Amino acid sequence: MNLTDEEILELHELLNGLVEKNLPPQKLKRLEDWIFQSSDVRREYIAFMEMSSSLSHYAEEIISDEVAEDEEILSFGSRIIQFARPLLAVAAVIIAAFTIYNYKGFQVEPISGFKQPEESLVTTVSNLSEPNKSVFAVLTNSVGLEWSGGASNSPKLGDTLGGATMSISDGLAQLEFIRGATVILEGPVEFVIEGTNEGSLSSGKLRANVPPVAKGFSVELPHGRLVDLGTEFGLHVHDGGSTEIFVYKGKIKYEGTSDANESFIREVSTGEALFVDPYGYPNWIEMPSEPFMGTADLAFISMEQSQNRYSSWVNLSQEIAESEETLLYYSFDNHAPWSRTLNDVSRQSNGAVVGCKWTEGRWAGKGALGFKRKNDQVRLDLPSHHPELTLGAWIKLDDLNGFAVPIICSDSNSNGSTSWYVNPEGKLVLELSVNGKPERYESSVAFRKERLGRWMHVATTFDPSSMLVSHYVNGRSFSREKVISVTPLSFGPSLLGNFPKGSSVKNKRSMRGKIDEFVLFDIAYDEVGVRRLFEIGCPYEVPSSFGSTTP
Amino acid sequence: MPEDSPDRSSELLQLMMKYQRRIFAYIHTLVPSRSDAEDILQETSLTICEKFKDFELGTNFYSWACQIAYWKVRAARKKYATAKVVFNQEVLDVITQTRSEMEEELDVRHVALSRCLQKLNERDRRMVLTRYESGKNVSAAAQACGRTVQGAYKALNRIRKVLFDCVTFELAAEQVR
Repeated sequence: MNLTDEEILELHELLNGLVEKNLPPQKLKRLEDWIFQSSDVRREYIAFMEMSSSLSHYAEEIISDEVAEDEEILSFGSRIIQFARPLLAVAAVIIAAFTIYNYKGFQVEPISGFKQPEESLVTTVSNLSEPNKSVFAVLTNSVGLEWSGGASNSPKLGDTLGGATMSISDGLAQLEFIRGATVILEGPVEFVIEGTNEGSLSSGKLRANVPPVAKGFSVELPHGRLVDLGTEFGLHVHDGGSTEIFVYKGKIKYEGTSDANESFIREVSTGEALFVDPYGYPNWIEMPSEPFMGTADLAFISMEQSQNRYSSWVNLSQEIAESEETLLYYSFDNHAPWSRTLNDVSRQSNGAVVGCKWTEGRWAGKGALGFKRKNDQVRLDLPSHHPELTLGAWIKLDDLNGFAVPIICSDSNSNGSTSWYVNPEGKLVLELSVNGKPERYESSVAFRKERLGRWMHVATTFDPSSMLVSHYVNGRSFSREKVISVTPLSFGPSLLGNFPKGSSVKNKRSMRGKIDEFVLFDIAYDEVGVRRLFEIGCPYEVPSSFGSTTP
Repeated sequence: MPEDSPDRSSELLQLMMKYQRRIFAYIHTLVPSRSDAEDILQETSLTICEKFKDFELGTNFYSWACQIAYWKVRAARKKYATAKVVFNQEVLDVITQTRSEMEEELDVRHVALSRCLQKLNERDRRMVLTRYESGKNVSAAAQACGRTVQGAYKALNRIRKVLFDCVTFELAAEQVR
């Protein structure tokens, strides 16, 4: 072995990234070239991947041991053969195929070596593909899941499910059907698991990924039935009974009946969208439509992608923390649930948490602070003055209800003291106190109803060189105003998520929502810089058309 | 034995039961994503069933199966571009060549790994085995062990290195014996 210690460390970092699917393209290229050029690296890679498959083998072996009594055991001659779970399907395929070829190719009687000769091999195979008739699906992942008040069923992660009704008021739930289809439900949603390869959606949104093995997966809808023909699709059943069907990949067949008893069959292929109106009439629509952008979370999120995005954000977060340009950086990550200190990971301007509770942030396992009660706030002190500034935050607002929502507000009346908030109309506002009077820079409306209850990235820059204050929502500039007075900005004693008592803002109250990242830079970023903060930090896939539909 | 003998079918089952882990490991070396490797294993298994009548009993079944798997990987590379197979063909070829020189060592590594797993503390063992359960990811491992996802990433990287070094040590010790 001719690799140095540093090279071995680098190689293992690349290999870890490879198996966790979060290796950036340039690093993948580095690994590929390295494997090609160095036989030592190649051997190390092969040994590492062998370990990976052995770990899968042992992990399944242990599970098989734990649930041995529930697992399928095939007796073969005098030996008992127990399949490890991941290979169960493969084993079934082998037996099924081999049975087919037995009959087609070999023209022989069913195998006589089985212990139960009265049971045909085909029966055994069909039992294999239906391991347990009462189990249709498994709840395999969830994010911020809340069950509806009257829900009769509230399974936990990992629970197996039979013919269950999933009444979800908020959050995401991932179901894996026994036949192989994966469905992500986004609350609020009403979905019934009807079988190992079928369900019904009476309201709300779902995204389904159906591998070839589960072809034929079907969903009952208010006016018909969708049958998958090997695809990936999104569904949205509105309250009035209308339905939107979006096919991302592959093809589906929609069979429906209108109220006037007319039958319709439509095939919807990649990139196409169908709208079934409340009376059951199907119409082709453009995709994606703006109202459906609200379901981008569901449409594009997958738990694995989410993990990859989280890893990318962790790297960005570290970069921000180490940057000379960062004045203050609350990443809200890695805090104990009881912590009353909000750590500034940049320059140690830690905040004191008052009232608010730690909760889940943009990703499972990432922290955020929830603001709910009137005194909930984080108190901090930032004494310096800054000629230019970028403010950025990831926030999720529950509601406005005619009130202004504070993000950060200075509790000082000195010249340049700064507050940043959303006004009752949903406009993002940067407010400076200049000679005792407020100077306000207001955006156009940023928070409409459809933007509430979801993670949003907001940023505002104060740039004296261009004499502009720019507001950004989700990485796009959508409002610019001329600087009125060139005054250095300051915060001094300040509150995150609340207004100070003496604030001149009207209709104010504490924030109702969550913050899971807050940062101040002492330079004014341009749109590219802000866009990067959004794109890397975004928990959802960033659609390319996003910009044109942002206010 | 005649080609169409019923015993030939049971022979196939026995061979598959014996070698399927190794065939999967071979595919996984060429296709780093476990789920993609499992898909290719399924396709490979079907072709093995189809072609088994051509297989000469007594010759090396594993080599024969790996040849089929290799062509399945090549086909997947063409069909899905780099979606399933991330490496280019030249790299796949040198990996295949080197792997064929390491087969014995890899078997020893597989057995040694079970001993190394026993040496881990309970929490680390639970974390790594949860991560490698079918359909589970780092998030699930984090949840099972009460850690943050970021913490779980770091822990898994550390555990994999510990296991890798342990296996390498066991291998060296084996050669001394």
